[in-house]
Amino acid sequence: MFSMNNKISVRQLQILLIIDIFGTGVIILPRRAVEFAGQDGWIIVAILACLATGSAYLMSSVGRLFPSESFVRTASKLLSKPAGKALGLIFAAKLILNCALEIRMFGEIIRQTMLPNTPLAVVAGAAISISAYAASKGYEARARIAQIIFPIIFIPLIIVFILALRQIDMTNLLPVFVAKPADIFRGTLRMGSAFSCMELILIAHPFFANPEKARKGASSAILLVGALMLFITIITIAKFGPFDVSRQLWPVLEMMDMVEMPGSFIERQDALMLSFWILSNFAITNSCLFFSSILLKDVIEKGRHLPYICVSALITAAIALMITNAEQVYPIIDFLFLTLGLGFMVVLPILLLVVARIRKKGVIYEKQT
Amino acid sequence: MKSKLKLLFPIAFLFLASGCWDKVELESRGFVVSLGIDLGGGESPFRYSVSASLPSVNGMRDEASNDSSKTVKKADGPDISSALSLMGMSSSQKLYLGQARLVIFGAELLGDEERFKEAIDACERNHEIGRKIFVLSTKGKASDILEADIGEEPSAGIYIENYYRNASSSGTLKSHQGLSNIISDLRSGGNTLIPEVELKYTQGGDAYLELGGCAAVKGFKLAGFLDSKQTRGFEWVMGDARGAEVSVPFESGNEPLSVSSGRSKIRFQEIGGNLECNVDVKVRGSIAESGFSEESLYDASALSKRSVKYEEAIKQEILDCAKLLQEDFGADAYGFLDMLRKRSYSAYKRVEGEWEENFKKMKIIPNVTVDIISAGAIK
Amino acid sequence: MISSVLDENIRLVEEAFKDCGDFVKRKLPIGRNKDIWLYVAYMDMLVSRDTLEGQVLDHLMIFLWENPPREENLKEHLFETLKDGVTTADIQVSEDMGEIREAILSGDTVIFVDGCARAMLVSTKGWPSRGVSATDSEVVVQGSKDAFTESFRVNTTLVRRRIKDSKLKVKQFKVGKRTLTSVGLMYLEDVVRKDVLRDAESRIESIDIDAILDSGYIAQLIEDDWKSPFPQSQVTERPDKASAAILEGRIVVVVDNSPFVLIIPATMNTFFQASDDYYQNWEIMSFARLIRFAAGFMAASLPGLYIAIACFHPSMIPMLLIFKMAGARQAVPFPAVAEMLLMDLAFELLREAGIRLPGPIGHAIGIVGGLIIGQAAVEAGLVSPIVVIIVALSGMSSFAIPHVSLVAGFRLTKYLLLACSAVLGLFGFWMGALFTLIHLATLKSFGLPYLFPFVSGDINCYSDMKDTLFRVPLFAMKKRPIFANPSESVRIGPHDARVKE
Repeated sequence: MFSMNNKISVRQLQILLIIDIFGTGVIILPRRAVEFAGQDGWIIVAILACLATGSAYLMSSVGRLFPSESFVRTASKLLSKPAGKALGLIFAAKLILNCALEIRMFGEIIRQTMLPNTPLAVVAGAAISISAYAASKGYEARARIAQIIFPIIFIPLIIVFILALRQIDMTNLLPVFVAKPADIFRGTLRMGSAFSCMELILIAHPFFANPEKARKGASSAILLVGALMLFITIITIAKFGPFDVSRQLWPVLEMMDMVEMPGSFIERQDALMLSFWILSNFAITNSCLFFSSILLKDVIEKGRHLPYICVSALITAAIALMITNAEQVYPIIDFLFLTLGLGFMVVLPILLLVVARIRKKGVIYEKQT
Repeated sequence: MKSKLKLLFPIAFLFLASGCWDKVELESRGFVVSLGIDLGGGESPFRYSVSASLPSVNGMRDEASNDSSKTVKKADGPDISSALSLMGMSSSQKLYLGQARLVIFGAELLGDEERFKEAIDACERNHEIGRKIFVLSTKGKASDILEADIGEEPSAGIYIENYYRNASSSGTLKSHQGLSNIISDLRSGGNTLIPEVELKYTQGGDAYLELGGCAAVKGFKLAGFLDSKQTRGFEWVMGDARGAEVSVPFESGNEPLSVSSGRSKIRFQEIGGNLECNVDVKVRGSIAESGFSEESLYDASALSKRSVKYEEAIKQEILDCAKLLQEDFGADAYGFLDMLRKRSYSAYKRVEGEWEENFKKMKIIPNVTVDIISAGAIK
Repeated sequence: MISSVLDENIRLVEEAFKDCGDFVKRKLPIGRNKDIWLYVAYMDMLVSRDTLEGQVLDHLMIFLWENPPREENLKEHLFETLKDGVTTADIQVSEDMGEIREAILSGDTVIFVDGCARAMLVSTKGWPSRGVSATDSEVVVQGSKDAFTESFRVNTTLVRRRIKDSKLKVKQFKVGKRTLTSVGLMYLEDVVRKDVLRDAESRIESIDIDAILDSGYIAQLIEDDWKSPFPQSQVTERPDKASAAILEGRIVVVVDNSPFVLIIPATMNTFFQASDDYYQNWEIMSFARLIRFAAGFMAASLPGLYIAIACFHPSMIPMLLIFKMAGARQAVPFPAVAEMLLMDLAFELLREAGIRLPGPIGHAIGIVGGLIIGQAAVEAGLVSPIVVIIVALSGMSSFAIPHVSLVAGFRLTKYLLLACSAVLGLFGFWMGALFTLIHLATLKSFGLPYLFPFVSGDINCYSDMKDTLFRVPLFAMKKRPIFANPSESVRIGPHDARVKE
């Protein structure tokens, strides 16, 4: 009776969102920011945070139209059945691709820093199989797992970064505001992929126990993640200086290794810090597998959830292993974000909301008539 | 059926976990504690000569045992990774750099721009080597330092690490060591200072390591060496001079000032088209010794007399160092260009192009104030 | 069905209890004229002879002597008259042979009367049992020391003594086709959650087994997930713990012939709570709680972490320690994983041996085994000292957890984590830990998430967090935990003076 039948509370939703987005993208975030705008890169991150919050607001508004209907159904009702199914299919494909790219990047990090001789198939396969197992347990189970992982990831992270405050040189951020606006604009566009798992809000609304509070909860969660990313970016740039950051592959990891923790006897902290990234990546992969399988199930409308998870997992694994060079991942992620990501995060919600208003569909509008 | 399918995932995981690719037993690892990189010279056709010091495990484990031997491996190779793997071939253990504490660059290597760059890159790219590793330079060959039998501590790396942790003297660029700082400096200007270590022998023929002074690198190439005093001059400017002992001759002998803190503030000014740098140094210290004089050191005038002398001495040290860096080396190890960039972007843009010239022409004006906090327990 | 002919009844009963050497029967005439026949039957040693002969039969005889039944009303009212003569309040009347058989086997005395198709079941239970003694498995520093015994009624009494509330109910079932074991659910009617109660009742009623020999059987038959090594119901020997649980809104399952009662529902948090947590100061007890949670973590993860760090990431350990470990390992012929497994299995062996051995020898084994075997192994060069320390620490940690049943889960998880770490290092360790976490997060105990209140804590406004990793002072624990009926959730009212401070 406590299980709430696969529905999650607002607090759980917030935790899930924060963990989903705060993933492998953050490790390279400062470097990309600096590549576009030098030491002013943090401005890009700040702008992104605001934009992402707005996008979250838009997406959860779409969810409010038909609170208990799935994404495919909602799109079908607003546009048309084939359009809804097509959208669902594209969305599922995007999620699977995203997941595969994340796994590839994550696998590369693990192999470089922890397990140099282990084949990628093993690392990726292990991560995918555990994530698929979690996804098969249902949405509420995922929320519970997230509630446990959340303090394990974030409390040490925050402690490390607060300790880092004393050891950084804030003058590395100077001179401020010398970057060209064009660079900042370009950076914002290309770096939006850091928030790329956010469109899950569109699919998740049938699982909310309190749909009315979901919008506010989701927006505030995204704002929090954005603020956290900004904080980390600023500290990393301040610690190393823009030139150094632009040359490091994974600046935040190096950052965590460099922070001196008083009383700590652990020599190389980066292996320890990686633990937190393992958990975070698990959360993202989990989400993507779960939601892509839900979408596929809604589109095909046959059978139970579990076989779709297997299918998603296998496809993800196949794609992840096909990419031979990890460097190829970043341009693909960018491209994916520029096209489908923006599409789902901005264009589609606006489109759906406009259509809902015109056709007077959706719970809110129907109440008005 | 559903629950059986769910078990598929853990079973898949089990299939994958069919071998340990990365497991290396502790005793089969050869822990390298110090690394030395020299230019491959003489008859060797190779470009690098890498030496590694591996302390003996038994010696480290059992302090009671007198087995303080270490193994020093040397290998020559066209690049550092080949040299390392060649080294690995001569050992039954797998060389592991994860516990490496020290990297020493020989002076010859520092003199070769291209190879120095390669060496630094190799250290940075190697994921086993951490970014907190100490980097030192030496006038001779790095392998000599590693091979020397130092009484106090078999391995140079551990010795240096303890030194930096315990000793508090200045002139050794204590706050500037670490691969990370050096790379930051090199990335933002190509100039840096690398602390120096020398192998010396006592009267009785025992070897010991002496730290002090540094090597000035300009444009990724060695420009010259600074001695202890000159390095201290650098440290005054950077505000790092805690623990310095400024010894000044006075009426009845030398009176050293024990510096407890030395903060510096750097201001740039443009006067008549020329760049000027004002370095305001605020020093606080206490008088460690006085020559048993009759004068009471708690008298304001006595203290002010001494302050003036100390200020003079410190100023001179700063100027000496500045002269060396500006005129002789032409290397902006202070990072003034970067500071300028942060503070006044327009000025930076103007001087950036011919910075070497501008740096040489720049006037460095030290303003030192010394506050004597205490003079000991005797009047 | 019994007949009104006494001989027929005698035949039926004796046939049922043929070849039972402890079946005692007596046919006796009563009345002034000795013309009314009674048949008394019971099982030897299940009844209290004093009660039976001194109270029941004695008074019956005297009563009938003084009040001979009148001729006219002989057959009809004989039974009623006899009933009046029996001086005990616990009398039942039965017409069903099965019930009568059961009654005899439960310690009642059955009295048949010639001419009546009914039998009197007089409660004369008095079997030999161990008296209320001190607990030896759940020892506390401060608190009562009495423990449950094998007698069902004694156990329910021990709880009743602590909760003098008429709303404390004892719902009894008989489970097990052949053992007909009494199983009782004890709960506070207004505090317990009705749906949990109904769930528990239906699970017990659906048990279809021939024998229930211990509460452990019931625990395994009513649990949510049989595949999980983690216990989903608490087991305790202490009446104060059971009473505290009932007051929280949980249900205590008392099983006849078992000195261990079950408490349902159980979340992982409850396994870390000991009774004397509430009897002492909150600061020291919070510290003790933290130690317990740390111990739980260490018991499961230490061996795995050691293997992950020593074999895969030795850069994390300080240099001197690494050299010590490497030096110690030079003499060892096995790989680190094998060494760890060897010591660990030896430790488990010691543990098992220590349980079975009687009293003083059992204590000695710990010292002998630990010191001598461990020391000898190190000196022989079979294991390195640090492995012995790790295994010992891990074992000790498992002893620090108040409830032994939870330790089983950790002990098995330990091997899983060890295996995963041995293959994939720290990454493998986390994968194994995640697997365990997923399992725990989806586990439920009677509908309640197992990891409550660490998950879904907001159901009860996070007030359950006041009693997990630490324990807030008693006056601050105003609400009952999640187990209780929401309408009865306030435990300390506004009249408590300290609340106003």
